[in-house]
Amino acid sequence: MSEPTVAIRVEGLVKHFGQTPVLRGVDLSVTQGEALAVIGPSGSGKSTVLRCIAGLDAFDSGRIEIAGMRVEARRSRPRALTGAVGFVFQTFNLFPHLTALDNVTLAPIRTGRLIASAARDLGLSLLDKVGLGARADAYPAQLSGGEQQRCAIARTLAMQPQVILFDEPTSSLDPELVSEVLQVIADLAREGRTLVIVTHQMAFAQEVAGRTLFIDGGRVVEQGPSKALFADPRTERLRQFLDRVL
Amino acid sequence: MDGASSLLAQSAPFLAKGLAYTVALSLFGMGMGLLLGFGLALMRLSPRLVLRAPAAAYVSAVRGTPLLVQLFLIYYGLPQFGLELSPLVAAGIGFALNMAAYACEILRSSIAAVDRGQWEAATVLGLNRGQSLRLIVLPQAARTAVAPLSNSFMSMIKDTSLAATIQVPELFRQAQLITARTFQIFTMYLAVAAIYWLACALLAMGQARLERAAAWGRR
Repeated sequence: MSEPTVAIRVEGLVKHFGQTPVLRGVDLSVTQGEALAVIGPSGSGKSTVLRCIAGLDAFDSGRIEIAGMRVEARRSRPRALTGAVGFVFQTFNLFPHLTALDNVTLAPIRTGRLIASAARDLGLSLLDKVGLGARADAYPAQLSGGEQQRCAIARTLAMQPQVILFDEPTSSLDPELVSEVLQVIADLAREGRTLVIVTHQMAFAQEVAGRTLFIDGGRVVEQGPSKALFADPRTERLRQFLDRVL
Repeated sequence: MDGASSLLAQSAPFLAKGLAYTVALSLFGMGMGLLLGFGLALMRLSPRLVLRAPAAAYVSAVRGTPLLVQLFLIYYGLPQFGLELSPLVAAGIGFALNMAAYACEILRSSIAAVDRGQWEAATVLGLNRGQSLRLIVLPQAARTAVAPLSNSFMSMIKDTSLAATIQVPELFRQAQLITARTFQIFTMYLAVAAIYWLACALLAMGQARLERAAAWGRR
């Protein structure tokens, strides 16, 4: 291989909520195996970019390619991409009527990937991986916020996605529960999984993500290797943003 | 109270027969009403106006007119167009059509009340819309719907007494026939009231069981 494989390519992404522009031409690419952090002020459009990539939001114009396949703005996605993009929500969105294990095994079984017994084995090993091996039979209501988010990560991993998108995964957690979730995400990065992480945890972005992207006003304002970007911001807007949050 | 107890003993077979009609009408009305109501709810939730509008009009008309008038339209009115129905069939249709409108609104609102994030989580995991609805959204909507559906079910059990007016020999009608013979009016209607109460109390116990079953780890 002469060039690293591109997992996600976004070009000129534009989206409006009614008359208000949210994305004004976002370009980004994610290389297979890298962890990319996305930072920026509230309302900058960073979550919307993620939702467009995952197919949760439609977009007005631009181009999104996942694993070399172009996805349309509104139409349902090619079958080959089923489960290809994992998504971890700020609010977990576990299924409250299912146990932790059933949350994890539902999609692999129902999409015809795995038979029930194989899904169960996979589910138990994934729950183990995120430190929930002993809570397989608990319902979400019986789990703490940190446990719920770790369970949601296990649920995402069960579909063996090529890319995992994290939409502010620790923003609705009590402060003392943040680190256990970040630890799991850091482990995934270390395994060489492809991750895009929208986060307000600047220290985490700096440490875990090889590259960081700063979005403001619906545009990518600055991007680069995390260490350099945080140590020596080139744009005034990033400098001001970092001054405010650090 | 000797007279009262012998009256009740003599009436018991008639009341039992009436109760059988009441139970049959209630179960049929609720079962069919739920089925039709679910279809109507899906129509009302559709993005397409051609599905949404007729369902909304139906619900408005049924909820906006008295059940008694609906029963009369079906039993006494339809023969004018050559459609003569037996009392039981007419009542069954009437209760099912009436319940459908109420069930529609309960199910529609319960489905709409499920957090959008649940649909989104199901979608990104690769489930299609039908699977998302069936496996994720409906179980949660059903939980929300149990209490209001039980309310409607109870109302309908009691409303089946209206079928007496179109000659269905249900519980209340039996009581009317017995009082016409015996003039033990208060005792008879009190007995009938107690039977309705008992039926509704049983239903309430069923409701409590369902609610416990759908607690999902909550207390």
